[in-house]
Amino acid sequence: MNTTGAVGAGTTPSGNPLSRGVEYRCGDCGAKNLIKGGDPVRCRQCGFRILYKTRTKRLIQFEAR
Amino acid sequence: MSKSPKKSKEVKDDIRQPVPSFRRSHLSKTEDIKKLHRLSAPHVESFNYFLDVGLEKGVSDILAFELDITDISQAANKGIGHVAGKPTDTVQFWLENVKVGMPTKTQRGASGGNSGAMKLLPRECRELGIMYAAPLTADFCWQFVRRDGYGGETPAGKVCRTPRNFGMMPIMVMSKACHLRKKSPAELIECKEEQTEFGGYFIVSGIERCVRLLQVPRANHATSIQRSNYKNRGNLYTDLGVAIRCQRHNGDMSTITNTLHYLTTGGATLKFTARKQEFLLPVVLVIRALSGGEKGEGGHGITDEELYKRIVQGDESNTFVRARAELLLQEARQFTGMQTPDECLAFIGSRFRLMSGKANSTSDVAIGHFIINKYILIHLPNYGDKLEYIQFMLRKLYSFAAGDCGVDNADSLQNQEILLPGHLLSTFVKEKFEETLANIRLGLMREIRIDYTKFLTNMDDSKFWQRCCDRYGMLSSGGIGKKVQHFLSTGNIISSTGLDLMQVSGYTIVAEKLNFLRFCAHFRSVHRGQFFMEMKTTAVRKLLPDQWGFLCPVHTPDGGPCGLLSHMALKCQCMAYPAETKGEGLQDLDELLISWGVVPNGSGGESGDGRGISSYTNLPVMVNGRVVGGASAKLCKSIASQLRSLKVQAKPIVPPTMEVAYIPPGMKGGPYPGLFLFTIGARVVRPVLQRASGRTEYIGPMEQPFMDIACLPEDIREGITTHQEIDPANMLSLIASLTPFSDYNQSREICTNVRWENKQWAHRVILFRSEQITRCTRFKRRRHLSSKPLSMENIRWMMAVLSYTGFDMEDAMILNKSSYERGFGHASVYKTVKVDLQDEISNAVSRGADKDDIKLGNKTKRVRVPPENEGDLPTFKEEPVYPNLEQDGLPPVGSWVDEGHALYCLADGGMNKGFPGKHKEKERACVQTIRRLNMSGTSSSGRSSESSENLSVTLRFPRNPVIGDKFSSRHGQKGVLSILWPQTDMPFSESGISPDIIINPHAFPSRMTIGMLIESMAGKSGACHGMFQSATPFSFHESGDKIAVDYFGEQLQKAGYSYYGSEPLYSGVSGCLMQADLYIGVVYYQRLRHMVSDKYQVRATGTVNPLTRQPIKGRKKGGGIRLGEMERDSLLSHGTAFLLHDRLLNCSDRHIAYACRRCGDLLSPATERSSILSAGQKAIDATKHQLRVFCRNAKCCNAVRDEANDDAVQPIILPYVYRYLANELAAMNIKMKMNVT
Repeated sequence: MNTTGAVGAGTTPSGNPLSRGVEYRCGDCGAKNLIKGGDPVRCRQCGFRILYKTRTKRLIQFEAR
Repeated sequence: MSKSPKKSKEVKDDIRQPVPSFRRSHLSKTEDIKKLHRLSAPHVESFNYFLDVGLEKGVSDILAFELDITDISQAANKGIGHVAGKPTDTVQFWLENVKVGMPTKTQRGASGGNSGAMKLLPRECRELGIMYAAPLTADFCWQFVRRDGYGGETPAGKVCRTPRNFGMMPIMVMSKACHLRKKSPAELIECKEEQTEFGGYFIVSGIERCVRLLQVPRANHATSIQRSNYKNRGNLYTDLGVAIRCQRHNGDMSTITNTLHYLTTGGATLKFTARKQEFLLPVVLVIRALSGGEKGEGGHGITDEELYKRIVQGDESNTFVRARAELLLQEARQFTGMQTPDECLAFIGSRFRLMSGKANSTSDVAIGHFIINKYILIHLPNYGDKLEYIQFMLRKLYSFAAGDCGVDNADSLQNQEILLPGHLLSTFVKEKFEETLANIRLGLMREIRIDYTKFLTNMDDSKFWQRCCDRYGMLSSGGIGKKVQHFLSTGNIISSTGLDLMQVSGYTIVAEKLNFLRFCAHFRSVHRGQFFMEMKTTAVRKLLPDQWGFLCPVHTPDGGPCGLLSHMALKCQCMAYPAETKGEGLQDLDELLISWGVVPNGSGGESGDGRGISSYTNLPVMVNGRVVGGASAKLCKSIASQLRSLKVQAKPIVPPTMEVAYIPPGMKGGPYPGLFLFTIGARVVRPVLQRASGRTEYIGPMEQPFMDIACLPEDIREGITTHQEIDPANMLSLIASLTPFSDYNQSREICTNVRWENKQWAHRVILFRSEQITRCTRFKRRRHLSSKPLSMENIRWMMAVLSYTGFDMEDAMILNKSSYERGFGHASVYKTVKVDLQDEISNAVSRGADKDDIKLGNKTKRVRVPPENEGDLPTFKEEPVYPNLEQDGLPPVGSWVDEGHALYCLADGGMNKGFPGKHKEKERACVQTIRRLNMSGTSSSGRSSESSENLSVTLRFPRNPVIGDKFSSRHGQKGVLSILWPQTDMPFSESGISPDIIINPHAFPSRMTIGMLIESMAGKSGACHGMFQSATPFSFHESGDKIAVDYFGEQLQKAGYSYYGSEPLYSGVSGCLMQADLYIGVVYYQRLRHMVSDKYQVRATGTVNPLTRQPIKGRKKGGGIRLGEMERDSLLSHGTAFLLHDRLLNCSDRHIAYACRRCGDLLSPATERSSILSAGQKAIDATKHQLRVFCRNAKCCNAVRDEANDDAVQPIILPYVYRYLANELAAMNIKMKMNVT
């Protein structure tokens, strides 16, 4: 394997990390949902019970070897 | 400028649309999908049968349970038995109106209000890890009746009913109760399914499981059996018998096996099994009981004279049968007081009263009828027909005992049918309903016993009955649905009656989706039965000619299940529904047969009872195990051919799938002759061409051996051959028929290939399944052609055949390094980690977390930030403890996790305490998907709590080709990647093409895979001309007009290559032309699942077996690899004795032991323990203390003491097992003496 994932600190780059929540997508309608800790896992648009975490926008660094 | 924001909004709305993320320009064609649906048809159709017919018929067949309303707590009423003339009040209860709904879920809307029941789709079940199930409901009915004690009863009050829910019934995907049925490919994609979804499996806690098809004895056909354990039944019993597996006449698919045993006296007894117990009834008793008719209208019953005539059938010259018929009657004399039918029925009823579970007020005769209806020849509703059939069985038994007809081979498909999932469920659910009612009856009896007066007051309250039904039927704990779920998830059948099955476990398997073909094969596989797996004899595994066209001769696994687990041939079909015998345009079969001259049972009766006796010269004519009449052999033959022509008519007047088995007489020791017609379900049929009409006829395995079917046109013999195969490749299964040009290969290599196609990696990229893949592989690859039997995609690699480097020796291959770097053969393994957060939280609570405050989150710590200026106070900031997790306690999607990294973390409100879950695999993985699953409202979660949540993390492990990975063509030509060779050094053709892989020509001569050579030519010419080639087996011939080599050779010549497709290649190293005829071209290659990274095993020291002190085996446990005899021989022959010594001794169980020089004993030397210091020390440590080691042998001791000799004990190095062996031998009184010098 020639890739190394270097993931930075767990905080989101901007804003207070605790206030925003993490972005999820509904498994049914595809709507964006911001979920904070303790929020029920349920789409706000359609009430679907499965949410997918969206892919990170942060750079996943690959070591070019 | 103004347009761009609008556009982005459109894009957002598009999310609701199915995303065409797969790279196909079109959806699969309907005909291709229809073909796929045919694969799982036996499963889906049989489940539909269960929903349509089986369930309803089964429940309505359960006779009402009854209970006398008498105070059973009083001693006077405790006795069992019917008292004539005593009037009683009895309550009867039963079930009606049983229904299975559609899978639904209750879901709260976004606003929090309950939006009611919504569709539950399979996709959601897979992801949430729950059952795809629908509610099972039925009406619980009860009624009071008053019995006069003489068999009469009058209803007291009307029938009361209450609808009850009997739990959640698992639903087969794509069945009638499935939401996906009849969805178009586009709609399926919208449901997040694969467009080619064909169902046939259940979803049990998110896992796809399918019920195995089983080979079971053919229903409604009596077979002669010779089994030595029949002798164990009693003194007089022989090993001969005639058995029939009866399929219940009402269509609920339950079966009971009846066996007629032959006794040494010449008599016979009828055996049936009830509640796993065997019961044997004298056959004359049963005949007499049956002779009264089902309503008792027969009066006097059968006379001895008539019985004799019926058995002998006028064959007075046959002394064997005559003597035995006489004997039967003589034996029957001992049954005093059992002359009339009612007397016999009453006798049977009195013996089975307890087992029947009937009320005391039920008469013995009624119980006798109940037993006969429930256990004896249940495929016939009519007593007259039963009687006729028992007589047929007797005649067959006597003919078998006399040696006129032989043993029917129970292992031959001729005498078998297939137990289909829906039919099995149908019988299973019927039994469970029956058990539920029986439990309710027991519960009610308890209520009566405990408080009779309370029962009497409650009796009229319907709430009381509802409560009793729910409590004693155990409906609150899942009811019948739960039992079906248990059956499906474990494959174990829990049954009180045994359900006439041979095994209790192994009914269901996981339909793994390793690759698409493997997945398909699960639905085509047919198992002989778990029982035969342990059998020492190999007769069951034998490949019999009877299975031609029904079961594939090639497609069976190696090893344990070889020959027991076979696969249905491509065109073989299972009849889930019985063939329609009544309906538009269909003629009544009985009438038809009689109009053709079959002498019916009911004519020409001389005995006065109106039923005739067929002459012995006539063969029996049977329809589904019912004797219709008799006809001469000549007539039977012509009837058979007439029926065949009627079957294939454009508007058939007889069922087109009817089996017409005419077994001709005159074969001494052969099968019992007759004309046997079958229209029942669960049979297998296959299409062949009827030559006379030119139409397709469906034939069954019983008739096939007696038909004249030509395989190829040249096999036709005019005047004899009546049928012809549609395609000779139809004898193969789906996977076996996918080997291109397999008719050119050696048979062994076809078998090998079939196995490898099974082990192949994801044949198809699964793009749309949003399922929770526990372990799945995806293969990135190039697309290519469709082969004939089924539209499949496969992989084309540019292959060259030459010996080029030292690395491409036999069965090794080299890969072009640049191809590899371009993504050639790349793949990944997906694994899903499922986390039950509820469990995690309770774990965390037990480790000191606050129960109400714990949730997913990253633990933080205070970090001291050094002051910028000296003298300032230091500041602190919060920093996450697990840097790879985000604030929701989960890693970012797309990041990599190493061993020991946190995969998720629970933290309390202040983020002060963290409870992480670690990545446990050694390999690093990429986080592919993170799903958060809200489990509230799902029945399987078992918790009512609103916040019940699960987590599933799909990890991706890259598995790109590495040295040692296994590849294979479709001809059993496997190879191991030996090196990645630089493209600059690879050979190249004149057009500048260099190969992806190079294999060695030595792979061909010994294996004789001519098919691969032809495939290579076909691949190359197809690529040159840009067309698809047909590689269907048997489509080319060895001589004549269509010779494969000529066909493709000419195409290659047209494309400018040599006839065989070879061309000059230049060495990549020197640039010189290689002086050889070399082949380079496109060939299908597959990557097998055997990969080095899953297999490598290394150890220096480690765990040892405590008994032998040798290294343990097993890669998981860190064990060693066995260096066996052959490896030892090879080292020996190389003269590397030192290496051998190292492997077998030093790295294994090297041990220092003491041996006595004097007596040669290994066991008697002992260490003198003089001080407390050395107590309990090992011998080797004792030597350090220079303790005395001496021999305990008396003679040696004497020698040391008397002659003042030294101890003569010497340390020697030996394998520990050797010493262990010496111990074992000593235990057997064998002394091992060593000559130590």
